[in-house]
Amino acid sequence: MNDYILEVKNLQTWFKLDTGTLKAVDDVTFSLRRNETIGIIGESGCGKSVTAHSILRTVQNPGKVLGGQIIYNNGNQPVDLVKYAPDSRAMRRLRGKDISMIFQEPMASLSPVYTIGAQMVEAVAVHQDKKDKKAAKELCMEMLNAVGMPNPEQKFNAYPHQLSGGQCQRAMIALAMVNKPKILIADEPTTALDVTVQAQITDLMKHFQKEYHMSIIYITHDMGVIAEMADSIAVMYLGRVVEYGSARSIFKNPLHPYTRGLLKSMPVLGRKSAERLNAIDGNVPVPLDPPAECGFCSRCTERMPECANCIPRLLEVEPEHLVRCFRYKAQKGENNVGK
Amino acid sequence: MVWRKKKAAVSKEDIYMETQWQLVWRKFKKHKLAMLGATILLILYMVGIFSEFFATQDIAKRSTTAISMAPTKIHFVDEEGDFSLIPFVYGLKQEEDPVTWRKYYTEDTSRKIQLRFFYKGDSYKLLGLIPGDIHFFGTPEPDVFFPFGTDASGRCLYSRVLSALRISLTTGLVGVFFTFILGCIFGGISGFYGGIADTIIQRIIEFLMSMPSIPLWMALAAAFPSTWSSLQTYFAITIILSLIGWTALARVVRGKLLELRNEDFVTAARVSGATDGYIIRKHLLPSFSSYLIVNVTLAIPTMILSETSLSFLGIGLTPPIVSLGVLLQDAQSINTISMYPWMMIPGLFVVIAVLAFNFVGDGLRDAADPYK
Amino acid sequence: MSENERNRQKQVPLLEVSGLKKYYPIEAGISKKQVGLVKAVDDVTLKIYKNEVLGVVGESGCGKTTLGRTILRVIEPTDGSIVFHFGDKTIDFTALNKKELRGMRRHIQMVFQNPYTSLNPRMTIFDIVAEPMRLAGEYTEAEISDRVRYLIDKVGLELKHLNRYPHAFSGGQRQRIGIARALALGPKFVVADEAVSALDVSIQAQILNLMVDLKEEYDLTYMFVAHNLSVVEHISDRVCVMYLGSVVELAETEELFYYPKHPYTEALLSAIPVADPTIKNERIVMPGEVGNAANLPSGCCFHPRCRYAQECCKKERPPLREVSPGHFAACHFADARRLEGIGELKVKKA
Repeated sequence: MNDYILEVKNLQTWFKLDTGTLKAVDDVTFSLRRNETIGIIGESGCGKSVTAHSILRTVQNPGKVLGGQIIYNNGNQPVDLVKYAPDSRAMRRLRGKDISMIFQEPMASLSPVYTIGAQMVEAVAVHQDKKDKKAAKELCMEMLNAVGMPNPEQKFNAYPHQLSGGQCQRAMIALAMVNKPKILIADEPTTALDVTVQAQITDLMKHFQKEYHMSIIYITHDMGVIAEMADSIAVMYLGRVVEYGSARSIFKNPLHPYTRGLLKSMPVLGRKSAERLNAIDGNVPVPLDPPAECGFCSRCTERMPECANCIPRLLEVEPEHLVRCFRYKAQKGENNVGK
Repeated sequence: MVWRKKKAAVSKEDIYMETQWQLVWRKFKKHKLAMLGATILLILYMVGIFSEFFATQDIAKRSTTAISMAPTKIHFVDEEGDFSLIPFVYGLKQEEDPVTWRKYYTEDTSRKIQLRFFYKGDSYKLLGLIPGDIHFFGTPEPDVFFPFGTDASGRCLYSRVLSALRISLTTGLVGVFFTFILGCIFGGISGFYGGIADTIIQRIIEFLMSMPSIPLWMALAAAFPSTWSSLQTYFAITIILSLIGWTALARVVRGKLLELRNEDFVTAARVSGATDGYIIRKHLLPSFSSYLIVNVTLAIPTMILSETSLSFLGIGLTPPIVSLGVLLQDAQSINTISMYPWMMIPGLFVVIAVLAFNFVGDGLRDAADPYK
Repeated sequence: MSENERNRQKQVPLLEVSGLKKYYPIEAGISKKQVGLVKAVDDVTLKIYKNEVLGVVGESGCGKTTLGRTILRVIEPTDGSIVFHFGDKTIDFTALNKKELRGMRRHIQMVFQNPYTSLNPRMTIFDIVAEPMRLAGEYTEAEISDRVRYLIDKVGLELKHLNRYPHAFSGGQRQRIGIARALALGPKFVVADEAVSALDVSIQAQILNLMVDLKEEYDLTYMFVAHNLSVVEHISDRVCVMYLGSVVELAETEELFYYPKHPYTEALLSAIPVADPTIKNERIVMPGEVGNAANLPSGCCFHPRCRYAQECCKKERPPLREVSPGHFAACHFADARRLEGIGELKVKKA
């Protein structure tokens, strides 16, 4: 059996706007092993959320998945999710059952007019054909207990606005976990939360991963959280994966100038420094009709002439460590120029 | 080509330096229906204001030979099939139905009358000041040309509709103007200062909103001295109605202010030592002026409709003043509508004007906040 | 006692806050009967010295933002005093009337969290930065123009963009504009309210560097309110930890991060994720959630979540006291117990 439960290859999701084409996701490649967590890290506008929505095929108009493959392998027959229509029966069956998602704003992703319990029971009913309301409720209560919700009996009948931010995120996780998905996509699940609550939520997700043998795609901009959570990391910049490897290799031996810059630019605890931070100059660009060049070249301190001429390819420079940069030469006569 | 070049020259940098109103205009232009509405309104107001010039004759003139006459047909091709670039009408002769004795008019194809543009006709005073006698198009005396037909007294409905447009489209503005002022002041106090003032104003608004307006209008119409002209009475009533009609706008202003009052940029100005007056003038008013304009634009059609319906009921404007509502009074009976359907034409103009205002309001609403 | 601490104690503080309170009444019904009090800031006393950065940390709802705004009198305090010492002038900030207050505004300024709402979208960059000077009313247009150009250049923006509107700029650039505006009148004290929280990591570093540079150049004093402890550790000389409206610990940065004296600080430190997969994080789990500022727990506010809580913690509220020179903590057992700092909490994996 294939090791990978999900393989994303050369994914492209573009938004056709009045002002031009927003290439939100333009060549994203990564693979997710069973029972592992992949962290997708990047700054605002790098396309990490759009990648998540592309996998679930819930990209909003005018965005469209235009190319690449999303191979989902649940053990039987691998399927390419790109080939499904976004609202097809097969896709809807996958969504929330095999692949679930939790969001940054739990308050906004829970319906304010239904109780937590009603929303969970509905999720169960849709996917498990459980006509038995009582059994569904039992399952939901079990889940609320499992996410550590204080007073689960009472919270089952509560509306989202009656919960605190942390409780809301717990409810959201319970909702996402109630069908025991194979893959959980977490889109900045703790960004809006305090650091102590964040710790509780990440612990909870790790616990669930062990218990249900689940794979996680963890999207964030926080290097600290990703170091704790992820087994492998994909660094995104301007719609492309620029570096991809194991968490250890990314942190210990970052290859791409952007990854290095990112690691150097954040204050590190315990290294109280009178000295300045090594900021990356310039601003994060918007990928609106981007030129055919390395997206980072305008901010890169290690720029070379070819960087502004063509897009580099994602190359395996070290075992299981890929990078998209002209500084690393291709082996065996491979060309490192991308499309 | 020149036009195309100009369009291409709008660079990003230009957009970066555009003021709020330039951005609003840029967005408004993209709204096709709103642009259509704006064009229609412009035409209606122009025609209304200069109605004497566009009319074919004096609005009070009666033609005893043309009572309840159907709209005159305009032709380009005559009996023989000859085409003429200048449109013409045929002379009309009166006939009588031998059974019902009903009089009707038929075309006398032997008399061909070409329409004339900028001809000398009835004399008038434009805007009540500038004397003139040139009319846009029509037929000089003694030939008759009634584009919308005539009413039971033989008056030209077309000329009367144009004149009515002026009254109907402008009297509402007076009401909207007072509503606007009062709404801004009370809503502003309520939203900016809050506290006791807010509570009192909100209670007053709730009280005023519960007042039924049509009975009030009827009572007021009876209360004003009979020596007043109908127009004077009408304005007096409009002003009194706006005294109770500002409540909706005041609520909008209050809501917007409550939202803006705590914006960070307002706090920043306060931290820099700005007074309340400065903050209102420099930060708050510019921020919600676009919303106010939207609200006012959407309030005008309501005013037009209320004028029309009140005049129709006979408690608004009354003849000899000509407004769309007054004209529609003639179309009250089912008999009139079935026999003389052209008497409904003023209603069509009400619909067009109200729709146009709503389209414009819609476009403005979408464009009002270009920063979203 | 560290060298810095010894120097500090000789100084007259720039700002003395004592017994500062901000209570919001909870009203119910038509008669607006007061049914409770939200104690957003509850009896805060602290000193800020010239040219230092005081970091204020705490979880959302702990009152750190309200504290910053109350010190600026953007929010009027319920009780307490705020005293500034500018050179030999002593100004009782709480006693100023509206007009005097406007005159004093030039000395104290603010940088906001959200760069998208803190600039009026309807004003050009020039007008935004010039606004404080125009309000002060003692500069000619030529002086204002010179100063705006100087500031815009100083914060790292291009002069040719002066006539642009804010929507043309990214978050980081907008924050630079906000900083330029705060510096327009040459303030002595700046409250930075989560000034880098909304920014991307790579941009955050730029702004932090800029703030440090400006501080050195203009002898500024910052009160740096933030929830990100790594950022606070980087920029602050001293750190103040808040919980439910009161200060629970206040000490020099290194002292506080390595030798915390309050159990809440310890738990907070343990929760910080470290950007290094080889570090093992010993996490202290706090039961329950942050309490309700409208219904404070009895005794020590933190006792329901404290893993060391004793009987006396439920009854008696511990005052903020100086445990060692310059190290203040509000805990009954501050000197008795040895808590773990980041030295012990963040240990390399074997």
